[in-house]
Amino acid sequence: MNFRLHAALLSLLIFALPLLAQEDGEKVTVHGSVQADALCPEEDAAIGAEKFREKLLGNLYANVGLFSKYVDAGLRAEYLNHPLPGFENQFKGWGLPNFYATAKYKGFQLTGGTFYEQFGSGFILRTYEERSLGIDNAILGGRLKIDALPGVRFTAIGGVQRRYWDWGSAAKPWDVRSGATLYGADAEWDMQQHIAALADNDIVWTLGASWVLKDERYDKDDRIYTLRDSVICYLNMPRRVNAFDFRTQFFKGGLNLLAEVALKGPDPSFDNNYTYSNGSAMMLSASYSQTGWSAQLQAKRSENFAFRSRRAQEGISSFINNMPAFAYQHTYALAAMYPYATQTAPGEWAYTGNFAYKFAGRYAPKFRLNLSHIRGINREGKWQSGDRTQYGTDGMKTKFFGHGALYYQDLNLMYEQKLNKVFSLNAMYMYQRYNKTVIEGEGGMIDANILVVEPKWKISSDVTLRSEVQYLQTRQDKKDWIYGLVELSVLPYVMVGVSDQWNLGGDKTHYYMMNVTGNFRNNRLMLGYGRTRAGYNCSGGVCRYVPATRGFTLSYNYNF
Amino acid sequence: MFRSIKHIPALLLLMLIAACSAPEERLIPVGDDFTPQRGILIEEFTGQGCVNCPKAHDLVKDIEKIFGAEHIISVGIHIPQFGADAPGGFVTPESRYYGREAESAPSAIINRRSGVVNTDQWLRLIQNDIVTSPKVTFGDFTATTSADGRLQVSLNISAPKSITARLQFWLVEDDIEAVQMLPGGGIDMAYKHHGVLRCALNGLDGEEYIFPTTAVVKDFSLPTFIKNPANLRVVAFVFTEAQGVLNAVQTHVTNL
Repeated sequence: MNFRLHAALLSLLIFALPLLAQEDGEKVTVHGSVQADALCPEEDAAIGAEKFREKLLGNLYANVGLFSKYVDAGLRAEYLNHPLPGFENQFKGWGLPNFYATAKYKGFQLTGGTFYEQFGSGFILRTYEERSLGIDNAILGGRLKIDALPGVRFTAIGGVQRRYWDWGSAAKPWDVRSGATLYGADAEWDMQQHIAALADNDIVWTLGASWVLKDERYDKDDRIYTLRDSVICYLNMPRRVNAFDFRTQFFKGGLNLLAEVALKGPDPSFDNNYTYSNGSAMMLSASYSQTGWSAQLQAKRSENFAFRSRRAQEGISSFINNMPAFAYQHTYALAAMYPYATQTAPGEWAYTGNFAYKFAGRYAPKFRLNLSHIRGINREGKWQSGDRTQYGTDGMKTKFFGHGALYYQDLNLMYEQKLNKVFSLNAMYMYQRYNKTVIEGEGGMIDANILVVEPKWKISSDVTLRSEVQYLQTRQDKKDWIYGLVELSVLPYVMVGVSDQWNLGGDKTHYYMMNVTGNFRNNRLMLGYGRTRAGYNCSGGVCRYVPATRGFTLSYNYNF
Repeated sequence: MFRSIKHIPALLLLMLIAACSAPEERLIPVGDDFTPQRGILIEEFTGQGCVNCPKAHDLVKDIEKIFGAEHIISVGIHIPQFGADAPGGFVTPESRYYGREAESAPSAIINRRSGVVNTDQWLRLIQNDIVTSPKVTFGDFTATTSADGRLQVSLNISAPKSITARLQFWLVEDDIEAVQMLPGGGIDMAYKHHGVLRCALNGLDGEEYIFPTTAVVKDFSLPTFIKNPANLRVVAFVFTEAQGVLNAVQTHVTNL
């Protein structure tokens, strides 16, 4: 019996469970959503948009969940046989990859099926779904959550991880038993619940600890070979990799302090050039907020901390963990042109800080200053992906406090002000340094100045006209860009937008886009036509390369 | 209680290092009890803009030293993600077709059985395949060019059992000096590109034959964008959809 049939039968059982568990008078609610994104691709040599055999490409997702007092259950269907451009080949497929049932009683929760989980900041475990990147690294197995004692929470998990349509190893992707099995446990203790002196002083202080074990088989078909002095050797891999995370978080008034440390045992992988040293990650965070202003400072050091359920995997799939992004995630088109991808394997020193201040008064301005500064760590040689001389070694020696080359820097100042009843203005200036060689493999350091002006005119209570003018100045890469947008919205039904991104300094290409969005009850439909620039699409420091496209686009969302 | 707790850090450390192996135990030699029985086709997906590809080219050179260059038939298939179209670059309609499954470089398909794999897998797959007896064997293989720009190819093929398979001829060129991105982002303007696929001589998927014994004689026209006819090779391989490459061979092109 194939896996899809198993999943379908299990899903039927899952949906029967809440009905069986329903007590007299207890209500069962049903919620769900449908998401469809489609493109009719057109060839366009000017931007490098390839010709596709298919006339229509699209990603389709449908979720449904039943929720009751004692049992929740849900599933997700996906049709990705002809996906949007830029996803890996193995992303193609269709079926019911996600299905779960959760039994709840008092402080106990038991889940069977697929689930997402995060321990702490995600240093050693974070499974999540991010459709724009094609990431769904859910775990198929079981999870127990206990929240029965005041101030103490406990989670235990076990299972195998999804990679597109596979649950097994690279050699036997169809065989669920062949893949790495993950086990983990997490405990958190709110100390103020048991220490009166903390509660009396309005202090909330939490301690947390987590453990994850990856048990990955290493059969003959999985062996990694290399050459040492012209002799063929294979690597003797550790089958089990342990990782630990310890953290503490302190709140008092507007003050919030966090310290987190994680360690990982030897985990030779493609990411770290099959080296055998331990991995480490640590983060310090401090923030303070008062009426009218807030400030935050964070620092992070990570080294050799790519943690995957497949040791030979490339790309962005099969990650067990996710390192928190320290680069500000911009939404303005030109500010997001050079997004930073977290360097998990070579490691990095990352610092971020922000300060926000709002002047008093109804039409007073608000300012926000953000700084991200990310550097490599100090090591005795130059780290390179695929460096076979490192295979089987402990890797290059590093110094804890030393810094390496600059990877990324972003200093931006944002301004927001409501000028009167109908006009408001947002603006941003940003200075960016982007080490394209480190992040993309080539291209050197890019220094960019970016200016954004975003006026908004509320013509009536229902009609708003918004526009954006952005300019990116750089002497490197494709030189200067300008971007303009005009968007008219008639609440709550229609929004029409026209934009153009024009490469002034390089090949003079226009990336025009027009779209119309309609909302009706729980439905949202967007139709568009235009060009999309080739580049990296990033979320949370994880990036996927998206090729250039041109054509009609459709995006539909429905929630119930 | 405290006595138990104070041992936890030591236990955790023990768990961390339990999986450690001593450096001398990490690399296990596989021995040298493999005698190459056949040719191995490496369809190496590469590109002039691929910074890690020169390392893969070095790996191919090492593999040729170990197994013998006559048994390793490596062909550089330049994929459009990392290069420009011929004649300026090395991307051709053929390389787009053969590289359609390659999402990144360096990567390769070994003997058309492996799917696209990264460099870590090449040695394992080659070592597994090279010791197997081939289902077809090759006899005399010659390739000559004439003054009028024609290429004559002659190859004798035999098979112990009757088999229906496809025969493919490729033209590849060695030692082409052209730009190449290097690890770390540097650029070599005069990098020597080895084994660049120039064209498929007898169609994208070759021609079907029923072996056992066949003497194939073919006459082809040379493409116009060849840099140096003296550096040409013809690669021949027999393959089926189900079994991949049954055997592969190569010969240098000589002038009449």
